[in-house]
Amino acid sequence: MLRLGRRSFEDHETIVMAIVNRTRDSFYDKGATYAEDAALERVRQVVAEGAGMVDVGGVKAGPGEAVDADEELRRTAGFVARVREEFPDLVVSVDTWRAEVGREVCRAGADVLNDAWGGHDPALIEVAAEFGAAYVCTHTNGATPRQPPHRVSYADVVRAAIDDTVALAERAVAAGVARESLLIDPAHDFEKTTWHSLEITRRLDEMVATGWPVLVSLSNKDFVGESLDLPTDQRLTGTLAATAVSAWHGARVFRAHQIAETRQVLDMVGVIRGDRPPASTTRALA
Amino acid sequence: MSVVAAAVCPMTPLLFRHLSGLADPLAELREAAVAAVRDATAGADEVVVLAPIGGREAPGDWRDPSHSGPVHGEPLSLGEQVGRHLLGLADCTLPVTCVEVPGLVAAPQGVKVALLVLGDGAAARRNGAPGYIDERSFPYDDHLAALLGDGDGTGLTQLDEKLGAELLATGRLSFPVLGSLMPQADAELRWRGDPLGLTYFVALWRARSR
Repeated sequence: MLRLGRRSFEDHETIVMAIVNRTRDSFYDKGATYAEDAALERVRQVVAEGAGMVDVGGVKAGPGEAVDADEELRRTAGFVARVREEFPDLVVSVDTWRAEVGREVCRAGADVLNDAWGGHDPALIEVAAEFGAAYVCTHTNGATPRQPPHRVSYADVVRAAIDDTVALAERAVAAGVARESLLIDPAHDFEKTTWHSLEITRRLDEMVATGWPVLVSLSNKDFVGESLDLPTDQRLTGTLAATAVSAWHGARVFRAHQIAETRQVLDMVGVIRGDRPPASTTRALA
Repeated sequence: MSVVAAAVCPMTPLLFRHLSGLADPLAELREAAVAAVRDATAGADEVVVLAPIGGREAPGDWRDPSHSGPVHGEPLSLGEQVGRHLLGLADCTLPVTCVEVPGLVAAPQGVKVALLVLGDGAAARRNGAPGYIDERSFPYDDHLAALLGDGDGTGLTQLDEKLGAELLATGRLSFPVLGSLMPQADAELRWRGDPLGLTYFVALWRARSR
């Protein structure tokens, strides 16, 4: 059982986590939902398309416009409250590495703190514990937030991702975060070459075997673009291929831009795995 | 020790051909680097590789992320692995000593030594570069290019190390050592470019006849 705030999910359920960026410069949407009303409209759309949760971000992951905690809060806290009000049962996640931001968004109704920079601010775990929020444990190899990777290497990237995220999860449990409210995320592209992200994908079953539910963030990323030599706006098919492989390996939560397509891939893989029945089968059965 | 020549080459992992997949964006750079190594080592008795170690830009224990290419003794430093790879591509069969820099360089008296100096310029020249954008990169790299092209070793010993570290320039670690061993040289800057937002240089230095 996975519990994310007010919602619980069965062990074989897969969840699409829709990206809702309140940024001007994120790599894929490039400010499309920076305005609060546009972001709220995006939430309505992704819910209709099958998203089980939304992930609200106020700071671009890569280098770019400086966004301090006050500005990040201005972009996220009030918006979380609006989403909470309109969608009382929707799981709301906030992508932040700052404890001071985590505290305010939890007060506004956030269910999940997606610590995309892997415990950079150790106090964020305490905030999750204090508010009963779920927490995402991410592998970033100790990188400084927003820092691009450079000449990074690992003896075994999968082992490193497992060791670091599981250690973070155990730290969260010790701090008081509920065991059933923790996810681990290998963090494709973060402090990784494309080779590393491909190996993580290929061997994701090893991460799933830890028993901690696995979140993957694959959507339109550079490892897809470099694999297929495609620009950002042409990576959907590659993203969906990586999504299918990750789902086959047993990942549970999929952070995505394109919701309907992702949901359909997850449903199909779920049927192939035998985790869910086909929608309607009469072929050769009449 | 008598240094007869030096090849200055980048230390990007992409000099390993297999790491860039089907494409080979640095083919021309690799060719220039191998030619400089070949020219610098011709007529030498031994090779000393100056391999920078410091910061994430010059890792001391780099490992091939693809697991698919030739092994170069990992987990040695990135600089040493690239250096040994270039020597292999140049068909160099001379004895090789690798020195981590900054550090002391020594070789027996009366031996003609060719240096292979690994090091790059600034890594912060555009969006997408390892260090993002730092406008100081441009004059810094221009200055490096001038010193490498002029054979001005004395100038290389006076580089601003703090600035070099902030710009993730691995040459800050190795170029001053080259400068101290060859204060003046007959020099050719054979290649300069920043195709990935990080400046690469290839230069050939020959000892100036006295």
